[in-house]
Amino acid sequence: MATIDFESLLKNLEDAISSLAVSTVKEYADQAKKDGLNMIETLKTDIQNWSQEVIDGKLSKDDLEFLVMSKKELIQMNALKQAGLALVKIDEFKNSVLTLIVNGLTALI
Amino acid sequence: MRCLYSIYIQTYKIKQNMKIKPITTNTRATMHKLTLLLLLFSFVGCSSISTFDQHAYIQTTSLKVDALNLMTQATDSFSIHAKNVAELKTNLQKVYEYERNRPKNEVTAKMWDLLLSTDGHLLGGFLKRWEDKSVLGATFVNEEKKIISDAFDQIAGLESGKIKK
Repeated sequence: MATIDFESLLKNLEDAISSLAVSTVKEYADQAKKDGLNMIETLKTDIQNWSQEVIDGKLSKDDLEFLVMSKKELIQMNALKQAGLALVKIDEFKNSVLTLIVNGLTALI
Repeated sequence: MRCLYSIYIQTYKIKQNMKIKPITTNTRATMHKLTLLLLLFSFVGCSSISTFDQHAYIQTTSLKVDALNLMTQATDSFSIHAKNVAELKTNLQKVYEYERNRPKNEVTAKMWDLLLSTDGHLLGGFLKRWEDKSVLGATFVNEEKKIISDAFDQIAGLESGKIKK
């Protein structure tokens, strides 16, 4: 049976996995940050608009309070969504690593 | 736990094989590296979150439409629409149970919890408010509809972002 060069395989895998990890994290982090900041911006705009509507008599103070709390809970939902997508990214990363390992081993045999 | 057990079994089998014949330093080093590879395999074999579910996605988007249509009626007396509200709540509960029982679906289940909680300020809280006050203001209803629409989109967005098998 031919000798399998595990040293080379592991070194190549290490380099490939490191690159993959960096690109996966960066892509996810950029999107998550953009989504989160966007939510905060819309909250600011909404509060301004709603406050004006209270002054105009279109909303009660109770309504305003309810809407602000709704928005807060929406932001929580967005945070949960980001947490879920992070887990998806982890699984995608794992699948890519598995493919790298299988391809690496196949190439050596 | 299943992943840890498979790692244990694979490592045990390797150790058992090593006992059969005299082990040289090179062979031991090779077996250690093989164990490491097997550990990597086991790690990547364990998923962190549920995969995409077509039924769940369709139900989420369908209930979004039903919920928003019903919310529009909240400028009317609640008693006129009580039956429709009850029907919507039943359908929401069915989807919630489905999501809650899917393996590795805790994040989505928590999102549904938040959306449906009658102590909160999303859909569950809105329907309770309508029932308590009987009639809600048009501006309030329109603003709340935008938020609830976004809330459903968060759930659908996560589902559509999951890995498709």
